Amino acid sequence: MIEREFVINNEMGLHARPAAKLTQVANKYRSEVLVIKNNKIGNGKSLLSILALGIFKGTPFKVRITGPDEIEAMCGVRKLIEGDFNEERDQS
Amino acid sequence: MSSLPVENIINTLNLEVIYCDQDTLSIDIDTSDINRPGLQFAGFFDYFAHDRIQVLGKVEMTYLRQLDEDIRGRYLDKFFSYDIPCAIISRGMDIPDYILHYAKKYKRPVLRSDMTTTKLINKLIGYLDSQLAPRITKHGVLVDVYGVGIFLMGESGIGKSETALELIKRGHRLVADDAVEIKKVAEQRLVGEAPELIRHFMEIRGIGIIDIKAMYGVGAVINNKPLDLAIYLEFWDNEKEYDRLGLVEDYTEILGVKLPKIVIPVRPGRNLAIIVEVAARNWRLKKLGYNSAKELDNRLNALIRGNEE
Repeated sequence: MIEREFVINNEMGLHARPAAKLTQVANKYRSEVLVIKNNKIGNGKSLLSILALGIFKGTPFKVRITGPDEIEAMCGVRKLIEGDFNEERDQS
Repeated sequence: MSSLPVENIINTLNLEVIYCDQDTLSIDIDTSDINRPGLQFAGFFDYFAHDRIQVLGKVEMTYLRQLDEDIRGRYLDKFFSYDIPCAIISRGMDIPDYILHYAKKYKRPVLRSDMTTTKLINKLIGYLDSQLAPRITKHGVLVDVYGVGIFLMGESGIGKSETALELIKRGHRLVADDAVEIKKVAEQRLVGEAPELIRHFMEIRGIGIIDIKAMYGVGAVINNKPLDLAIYLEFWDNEKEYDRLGLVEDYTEILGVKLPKIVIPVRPGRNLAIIVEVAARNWRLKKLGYNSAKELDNRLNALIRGNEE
């Protein structure tokens, strides 16, 4: 299991489009991807579940990945979030 | 244990704010118990439950009024020096200055309600119990099928949402898709609802986000529902033995509550919605005391006995 904290710099926060990109990236891996804000846990592979967390600009949240390809998955997620959600194409 | 700010209680129970410092609105309450500070006003502070909401009814107010001024001041000063979350006066009674003086001194919120004391306490406990109940967010879909709360679980992409959609089309109701907030409201009772932000929305791969309420009308949705049965969908595994009789009952545990569980293998061509409907009907039959598998077993046994004679 690996865990990492992120903050969204995107103006609108984690709104529908970036959230959809995040689920797309998460779904490429076999590991379980969880998005955690405060004590709420969302499934990183499900769009609605991420949206339900309500992650805004500046809100810290954690991504916890558990599974056989957790390191690759965390790399993918990190690239996406830190690249402000534009680099998801290069990654694949 | 969860907690909630005083502000929420004020808004939900329609309390009048008599005095409140801005920062104290966010004080968290983490117990659903209530204290009536009669004994404290009599000077007895041992075991004072100062972390609870303090409710002042007619008795407390009348008692304070007839108390000697010095003594009253001393006890009130001591009372408000504890970190009480707030004091609520019931019956819409006037609040004398001697209470407000010490409340302001220690910045403790003073609220007022029009309700009678018992009714107010009842409402407070009911509200706090529901808000402070242990809760967990689970991945899955919650649907109401023939009045049975069915929690569909399974991996991403196994077809939970599609099954729910078919169920909605057949006249059943959606509670939550994808993320279900489950609350333990009583010892053996779980209630599920959708996070407010995504309530009554669904995600269908290939189409995107759909709004069930707008599409199918209010009859197709319900805000919350007790969980009765968990159905676990999994890819058909030829190696695995699936239940053929339904005589053994399996359980899954959520927040320490045992929930009956059935595992349904998914294979192309299996109409999952009908199977879920049948599971709901069967669950109701069992609740009414009729177990199909046992009934068949009984018939068979009777026949065997008949043959022996």
